[in-house]
Amino acid sequence: MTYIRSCVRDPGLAEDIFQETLLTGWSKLDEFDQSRPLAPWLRGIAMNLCRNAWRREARSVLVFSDRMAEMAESTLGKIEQHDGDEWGEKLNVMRTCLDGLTPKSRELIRCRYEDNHNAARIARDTSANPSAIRKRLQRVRLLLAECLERNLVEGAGA
Amino acid sequence: MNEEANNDLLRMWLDDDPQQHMKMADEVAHIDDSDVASELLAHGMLSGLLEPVEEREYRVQNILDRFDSQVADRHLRGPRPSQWRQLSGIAAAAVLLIGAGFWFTSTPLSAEAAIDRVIRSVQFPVTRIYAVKIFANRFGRDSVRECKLYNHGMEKTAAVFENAVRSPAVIGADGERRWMVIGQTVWTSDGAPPANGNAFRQRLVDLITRGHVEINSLLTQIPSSYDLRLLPPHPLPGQEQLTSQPIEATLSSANRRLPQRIVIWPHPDSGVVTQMHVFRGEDRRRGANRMEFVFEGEKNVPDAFFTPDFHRIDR
Repeated sequence: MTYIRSCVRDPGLAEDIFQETLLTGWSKLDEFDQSRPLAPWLRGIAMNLCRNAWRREARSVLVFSDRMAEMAESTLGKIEQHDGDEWGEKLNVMRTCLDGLTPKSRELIRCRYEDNHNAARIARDTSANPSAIRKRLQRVRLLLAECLERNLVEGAGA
Repeated sequence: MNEEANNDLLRMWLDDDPQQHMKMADEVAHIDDSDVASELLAHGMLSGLLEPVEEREYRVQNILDRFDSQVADRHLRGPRPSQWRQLSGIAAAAVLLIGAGFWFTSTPLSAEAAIDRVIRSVQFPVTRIYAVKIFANRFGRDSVRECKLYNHGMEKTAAVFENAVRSPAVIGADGERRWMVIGQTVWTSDGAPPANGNAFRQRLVDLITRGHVEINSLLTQIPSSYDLRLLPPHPLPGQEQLTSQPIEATLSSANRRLPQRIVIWPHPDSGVVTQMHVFRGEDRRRGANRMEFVFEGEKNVPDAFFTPDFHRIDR
């Protein structure tokens, strides 16, 4: 779901693709080489479904290209390659990184993701400029990504 | 389009309503910045991590429902998704059917006491067989699917789909693992943390077979999540010589994963539930559906029957 949410903005569409990915994976289970990891195989299915969605949605919403999907796939694959930890642990690392944010940044992330408010709504609630909110969200997300990578690398080295 | 403008588009894509920023895919195709990929990953993780639990549960429910409906919509696709979805519901409901204790009482029970008797009876270690029918309607098309459900006590379960296109098609639990056997594919999950990078696979098995987990969950949730009442005494369907007082459980909690209504016909003497109808509710995405369980009898089966090895075709 993380991968799909990285590639598809609309939560409803992301959910549909997530479901379709599992259903497609299930129907092709016999084709899956069980000696190989499942996640990249499913992500391949998801990527194809995302591409189809992009083609359908291209004229109605802002969407991303194959190049962006490949970058997201590459980044996710890199994160997954860290040995000895499962995805839940990576999410725990992300939680730890969230705890390390300043209260103001945490509140911003909470508004954006927990309350699911968009930048315009947050700007309105906080009497700020939407563009400034978007910039702040960008900075916080990059901080979190750096923190995640750093902790996973340190964890792997420990 | 310059990089700054593209980054602005990315921010709008991530943090505003997409419809407010219509743009063709090609116009953002040349964003090429490793920071962007990192930010997308963080965005994806945050979206999942901070998603409200109710939405996550609803999403899981939708997946299970779609496993069910896929075959109803496209018969030629094979029965596998349906089977797991079916068992999810079956297993959730089956717990109410596995009655084996014998309590004789001449005094009328309250609905709460009656359901408590059913709940306690499922712990009796005997294998009981139920014929299960799943009625579904999706997009105006009715379908009926069937399986045989073998239950032994609280922990051992095997649902056999004899008419599956791909066989064997069996899912079950042996007390330690949940498993599924479809054709030559055998997947298991013991719920323990995976040791060799199989986390995703195991999670998928858990997702598909979570019906087994829901047995105890549903059982324990009935008193707190349902309004109970006794219906007027009625001859047991198909066994008119016996009169049973059905128990009707109507969902009172907001948990959308639970069936909307359950009607149970317990045996008048033993309390064993002989028949049960489970109504899963009706909404735009799932359509209406219900399941019917009919107790067929007891049978001695080896313990191995509740393991995947017993059913795999190359055993």
